[in-house]
Amino acid sequence: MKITIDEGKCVGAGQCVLVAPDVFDQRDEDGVAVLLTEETPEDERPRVQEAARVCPAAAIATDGR
Amino acid sequence: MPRSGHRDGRPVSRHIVVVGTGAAGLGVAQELRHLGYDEALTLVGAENHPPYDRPPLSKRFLTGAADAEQLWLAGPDTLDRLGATVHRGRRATGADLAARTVSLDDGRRLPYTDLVIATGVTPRTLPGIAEHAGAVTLKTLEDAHSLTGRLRPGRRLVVVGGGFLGTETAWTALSMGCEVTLVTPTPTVLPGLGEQVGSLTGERLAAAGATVLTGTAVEAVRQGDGPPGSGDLRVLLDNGTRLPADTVLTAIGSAPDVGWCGTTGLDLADGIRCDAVGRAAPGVHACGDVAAWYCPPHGRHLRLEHRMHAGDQARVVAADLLGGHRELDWVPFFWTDQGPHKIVVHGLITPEAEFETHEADTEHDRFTGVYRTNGRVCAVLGWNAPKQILRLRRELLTGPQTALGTPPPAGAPKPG
Ligand SMILES: Cc1cc2nc3c(=O)[nH]c(=O)nc-3n(C[C@H](O)[C@H](O)[C@H](O)COP(=O)(O)OP(=O)(O)OC[C@H]3O[C@@H](n4cnc5c(N)ncnc54)[C@H](O)[C@@H]3O)c2cc1C
Ligand code: SF4
Repeated sequence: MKITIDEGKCVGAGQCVLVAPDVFDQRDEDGVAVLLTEETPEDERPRVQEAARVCPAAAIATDGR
Repeated sequence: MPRSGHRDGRPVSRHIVVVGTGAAGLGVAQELRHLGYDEALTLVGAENHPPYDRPPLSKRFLTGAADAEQLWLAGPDTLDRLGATVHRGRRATGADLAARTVSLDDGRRLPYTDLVIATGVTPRTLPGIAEHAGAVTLKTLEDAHSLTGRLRPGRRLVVVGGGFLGTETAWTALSMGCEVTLVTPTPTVLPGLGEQVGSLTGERLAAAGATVLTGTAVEAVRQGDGPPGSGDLRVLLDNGTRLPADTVLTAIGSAPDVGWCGTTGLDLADGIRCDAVGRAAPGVHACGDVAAWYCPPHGRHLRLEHRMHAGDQARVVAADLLGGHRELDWVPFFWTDQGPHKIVVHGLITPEAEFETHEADTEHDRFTGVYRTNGRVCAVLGWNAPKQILRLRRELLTGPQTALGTPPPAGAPKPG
């Protein structure tokens, strides 16, 4: 599945990492979210969508709904 | 308590009305649809904008580095897809909980089966200050726009208040070339974070060029010698000093926006008092900055003004409205950007909590620390340590990991 993180919006809250630790990581210096792998497997979709919903900066977008 | 989908034992078609369309109100609406609610939904929002996010208003947006569209939590397309009736630029003026109606400032009266109150807070001001053109507060998009226009290089900004909003705005104004003085009656800035972190933040702010006056109160703001309306102000301090200013930002905290609920009979002692899932009365929920929820781990009601908390509560309310259950994350979380420094806190720092540095990395100017009350960890803090702090949270603070770790069931049970 395709995931985009808006780096300008991300506040480095790390909530996405708490929800989907196999998908998201944070940059060392500012905590901005990064994807652990280029391709995220489909079976992570529910967690990724949960992460997108809890992100306090609305910084995560996914393909489809 | 009667189930909200029923009245007098008869099922009625549902109409959920949400008042306030900030992070909390919009969050309830979005989560309701996400959980499969397909009946009537109405949003009433006093501000004439699509729902937008506030934290950038004292940070990136204030410098002019972001435009309004980047603040939107739901742009026009997203709002359309929500399938809700939106009354934008309309204010709720009262509610009749027995008749289940809410009245709007255009005279309209909306019947509801369930009411969600998410009207947030309004900044407090100093008495008599509003008459001065250069005396401002920061809460809305309009506030931020007008403040941005005032923060020109060389302009003098006096910030009244040393909390998150005051300190963040002081940093931002410094970065824009302003002359900044921050005045706070507390012994350090950010008193909520304890002496150590507060002193450090104050020192850094001063090193960055601000004048930080702690233990000092503002007595009054007066017109300066310039022509009236020129924005030339004098800030009178309790030590007799008169500070010249072009702009005075008052950031001394906020009061819950509950004036319109005066005759509802709701408990308004500190915002709207709710149980642990946001129920305030039969057919009424409240969430976000305006709501004080009962917090079982602490055995008392808590009203927090944190962005993450607003969204968390919204999801709990939506689940409860649909007869489901979602546990609130009782480990609250917030961040504040102090110029180049990011402070992240997980947990609740109580006034008596003692702070201890956990790990420090001076080379990279980062550390983590732990707050303890009676030997028990109540919160953890990261200074420029966003990754490390998550690890520490996992180690030392247990939240309802189920709520965080597992996705909610798709499609919650429908009422009726
Ligand atoms: C400048 C600023 C910076 C911040 N920075 C941070 C930060 O760094 N980290 C953090 O954790 N938190 C931060 N916060 C706090 C965070 O923004 C709030 O916790 C969050 O916005 C709360 O959302 P809410 O929906 O409860 O309230 P709000 O966003 O205030 O929304 C309430 C809405 O209800 C409307 N309303 C009020 N009365 C009525 C009525 N009678 N009828 C209809 N509508 C009404 C209001 O106009 C408003 O639009 C910041 C807040 C501000 C102002
Ligand atoms: S939850 Fe959102 S803001 Fe926080 S790190 Fe992840 S993407 Fe960034």
